[in-house]
Amino acid sequence: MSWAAHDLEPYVIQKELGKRVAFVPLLIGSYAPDLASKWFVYGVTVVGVELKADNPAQFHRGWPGFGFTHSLAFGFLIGLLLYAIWRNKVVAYSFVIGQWAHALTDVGDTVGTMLFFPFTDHLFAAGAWAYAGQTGRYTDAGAYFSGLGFVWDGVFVVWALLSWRVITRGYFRTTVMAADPFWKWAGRYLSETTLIALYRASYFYGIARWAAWLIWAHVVRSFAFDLRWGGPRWVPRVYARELNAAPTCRCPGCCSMKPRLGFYGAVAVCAWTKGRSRSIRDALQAAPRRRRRRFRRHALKKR
Amino acid sequence: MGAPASRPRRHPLEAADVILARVRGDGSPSGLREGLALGRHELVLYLALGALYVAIGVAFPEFLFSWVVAAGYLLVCVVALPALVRRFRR
Repeated sequence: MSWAAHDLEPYVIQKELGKRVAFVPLLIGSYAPDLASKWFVYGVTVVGVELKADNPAQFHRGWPGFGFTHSLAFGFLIGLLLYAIWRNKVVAYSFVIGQWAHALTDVGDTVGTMLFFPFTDHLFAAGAWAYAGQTGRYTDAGAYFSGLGFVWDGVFVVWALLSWRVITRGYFRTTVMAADPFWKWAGRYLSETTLIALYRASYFYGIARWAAWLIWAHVVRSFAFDLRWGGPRWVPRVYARELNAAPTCRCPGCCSMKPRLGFYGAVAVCAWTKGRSRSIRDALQAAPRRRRRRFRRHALKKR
Repeated sequence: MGAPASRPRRHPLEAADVILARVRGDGSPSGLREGLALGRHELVLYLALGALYVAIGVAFPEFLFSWVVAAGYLLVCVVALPALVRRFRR
């Protein structure tokens, strides 16, 4: 599970795809897999009765359980349903993109996701950070922000900050409102300032929450940092192999790819794609010019 | 003592070109400097609210769990409070 990536992914995707995606379905897609199940993983107390899954990892990611919400097919089916209701292709595939981003991000922990459900209920896991939902949300937060999980979220925090253009008022008016029917409808009842505050809420939430949990885990509670693959050794974690029916999977994905190699490969592909995109290229090209300008000003002052 | 220097007048179309050059096709400012110039007050407000949110969240972590709480906090501080202040000032 990720604590800030799911809040920030929609903004990063919005930056890359512009008017080709609708923001609200993208955001709902990004939250959708956890909407119905997360509360039961950590447990809630209602009128003195504690409601909690017996096996949180199985319930959250496995089958039988709510693990199907983290599969690619689930996103596709809900996308089809949205298309059937609204007859709007952009709304439908924006949801699919958001949901797929969530499912693929959660592959990073030790339990992983059933990506190809219903064809197989095998959990695909890179195992970079610990799945410790069964320990309760505070220990889970401490473990996540002491291992590689906070680094992964940190990547999205930096990426979101680099995508600052998407949260400007002008971008919202010209690109976000034009592509998403929700904002046009909401604009009839709410002021523009309210719409923009709502639009920025997840960006604000993701970055502020990442900073707050990091401070809480290491200043208030003194959880020990352990950036080893698999998360901190002090937390009891659940592994995909404990939930998978077969001890070794015969599927081509598992046979041909070592998870860690695959994870680094995916990060490298993302970085390469991002490096080829215009925003970074423009920033890199503009940087020496700025330095040259500063150098010229400095030389003029000397004269 | 010469006459006060008057600003060179721009042709209206030329001025429009300058404004358009500062905004990209997607509506965002052309650079970080322009972005900061356009939304400085908003940025300061959001940064202050962010710092306060982090402080409250560190003191009471329960506050950090819900997106609804965060969005509500933002709406109250960015929309409702300034509107109330404006109403009382009148």
